[in-house]
Amino acid sequence: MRIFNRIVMILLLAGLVYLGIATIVYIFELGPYQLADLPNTLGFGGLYEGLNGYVGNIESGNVGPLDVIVLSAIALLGLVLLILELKLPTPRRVRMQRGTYITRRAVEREVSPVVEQEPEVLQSNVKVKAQRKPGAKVQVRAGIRPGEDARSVQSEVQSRVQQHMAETGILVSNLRVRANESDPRQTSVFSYDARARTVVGLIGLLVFLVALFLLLKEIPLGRRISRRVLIEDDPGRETAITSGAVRQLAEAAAREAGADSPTCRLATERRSYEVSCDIQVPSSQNFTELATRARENIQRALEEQQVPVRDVEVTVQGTASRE
Amino acid sequence: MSVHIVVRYPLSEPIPTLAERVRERAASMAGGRATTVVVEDLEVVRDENL
Repeated sequence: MRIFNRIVMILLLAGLVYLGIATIVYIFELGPYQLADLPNTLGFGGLYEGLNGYVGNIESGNVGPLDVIVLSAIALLGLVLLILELKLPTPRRVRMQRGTYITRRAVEREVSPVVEQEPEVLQSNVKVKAQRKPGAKVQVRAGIRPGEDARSVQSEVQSRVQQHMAETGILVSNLRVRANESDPRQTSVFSYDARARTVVGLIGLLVFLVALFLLLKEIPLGRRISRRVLIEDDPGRETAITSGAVRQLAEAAAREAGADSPTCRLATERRSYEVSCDIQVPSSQNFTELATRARENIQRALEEQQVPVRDVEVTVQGTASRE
Repeated sequence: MSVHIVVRYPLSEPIPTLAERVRERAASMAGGRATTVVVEDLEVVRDENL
């Protein structure tokens, strides 16, 4: 929705720029342009007459079925766009504790192997949704052989997943497991062919949307970052630190806390930094505890060096692979 | 005068303290000029945690 709004705003602003330039040129009658020609140049003459006639028809009750359909569709579209604009965006990351998050993909990667450890499960499909409150919403669909006790399998899978999530410190606020009978001869076809068809069918649209999104990101409305900030500002005795050094400090502090492969990004907000770090968690470690420890260590390390920090966020990307 | 430094991590002292020592050492060459110390980068010394 934000992308659509940006497109509309860009088009409106471009139109206003054109209108402004045209107005200036015609008002001051620069070159061969005369003010009397302005309405025709902008195409307003014909547009005004057309609109005038249309509104007159509506006022006199002379409205055809097509006009009713078009006007209703415009009103409905406007209402839908308004609702979409007012609706709060769905969070993309699962919230753990304050300032710590985990990606949905990382939660899926933790749940899937546990589900498929169940011998009766032939295949599984795990969907994870993030909420505004802490915890993930996890839906598991497990395919089992015909004749297996679906309820028993559901209960066993639910118990395994809950136990594993508790051990790894990933908060799951809602876990739903459904076991359905599948024909083993068809499970792989069901899993991959239908999905592959859907993916191929969406590729053209996705390429267009991603390209448009990246194009819009080039317009400089993104996060700003100061190249350096002052940690001491006594006149004539300033001490400054660059954003590169701050990033290194944050990553070193995250590693010190036990995180793997930390990657930190900075943004400057009112002369202080907002630090966002993505980390991986070594296997057999508690996700929530490590993320919280990393966040606290980063905050402590930066504050000890008097680096102005507004907020620190840590997002767990998954389990670190052993080499 | 602007002095640009690279510091080692883990830090043995806070950066403002280190900057003050740098300023004192450079004072004789500064000729009374205002001195700014800029931490350009951080060099992480590898140990079992880092």
